[in-house]
Order: sequence, then structure tokens, then C-alpha cells
Amino acid sequence: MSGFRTPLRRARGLGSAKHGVGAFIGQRVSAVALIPLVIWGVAAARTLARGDFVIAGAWLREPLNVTLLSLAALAAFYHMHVGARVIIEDYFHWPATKALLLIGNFLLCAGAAAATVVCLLKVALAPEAF
Amino acid sequence: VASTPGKVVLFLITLSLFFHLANGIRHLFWDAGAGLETATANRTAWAAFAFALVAAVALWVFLAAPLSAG
Repeated sequence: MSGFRTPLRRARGLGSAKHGVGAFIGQRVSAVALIPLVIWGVAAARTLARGDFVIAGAWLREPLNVTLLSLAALAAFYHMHVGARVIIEDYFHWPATKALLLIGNFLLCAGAAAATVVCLLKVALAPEAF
Repeated sequence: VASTPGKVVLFLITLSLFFHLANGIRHLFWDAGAGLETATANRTAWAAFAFALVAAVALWVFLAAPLSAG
């Protein structure tokens, strides 16, 4: 069937989609955001690792801590999504495999991000006795 | 996490995290057009390895130290 198409029709749409730079910029913006967030997160984990769940819960009930930890999780899962997407786009050439992996990558990262934020808020918004 | 295999996995995760952090900063400098010369790139590559190892070991030495020292 494709033989009936004119050369111009077949060539159309094969060039740049003109919006690929969005992922490139997003990857860098999330990288810059994650530098201070990861350093802060490691510093926090350093003290939290020595305490129990009650101490961690009290720490997470501080509004600044949940906010920063949620931002870190969202930035990290976005960063992970774009990074894995670049690898899939570069190394998987069979359209069906590529499409399935891209969809799976998005759903996995989006699901993990949503679940993480729900878990953080559940602890942060729980009453003191939790 | 109390088991030894669990601690090994956690240590490797922190090692990977610190390496990713250092190497990511390297990539940001490359994006700005800096540090692309072979000699500089080789030096920063070793620096990234060294930072990852030192930071991960330092973190775990701190965690292993008794509470009063922290």
C-alpha cells in the first residue's frame, strides 16, 4: 500500500518534530534542582537513619521537610523518566517495542511519583499518635 | 536494615547516588562548553570516582560511629 504514496508524502513527518528540546531542558533543570535536594536529603537521612519511626514521623511533620522531600521525589522521578526515555529512544528501533517501553516507562515513573507523594503526605498529615 | 546483604545493597546505592551526582555536575559543565579537553575530562572523571568513594565511605563511617560521637 505504501507504494502508492508519493515520495513527498513518505518523507513528510520524518524530520525534527521541533519540540525535542523540551526533554533536554527538563533533564537539565531537574538535574540542577536535584543537586541541593540530594545533598539536603543525604544530610537528613544521616540523622534519621539513627532514629526510630517516631523520630522520622516527627521530622516529616515539619512542613518544610515534607515539602522539600516531595519536591526531591518529584524531581527525581521526572529525571528518571527523561533519562530512561532517552535510552529507549536511542537503542530500541522496533516501533512496537519502543512504544511499549515508552508507555511502561511513563506509567512506572508517574505511578512511583504518585505513590511516593501519597506515602509522604500520609505520614506528614497523620495525627501525632501515628 | 540490619542484615549484612541489606547493608551492602544500601552502601552500593549511596555509592551510585554520589557518583551520579558528581558525574551529573560534570555533564552540566560540558553542556556549558567547559572541561571538554581530554586532559581535563580525564581528571574530572577520576575526581568523580574519588568523590563517590570518599563520600559514600564517609557517610557509612559516620553511621557506624556511636551516637555520642555524632
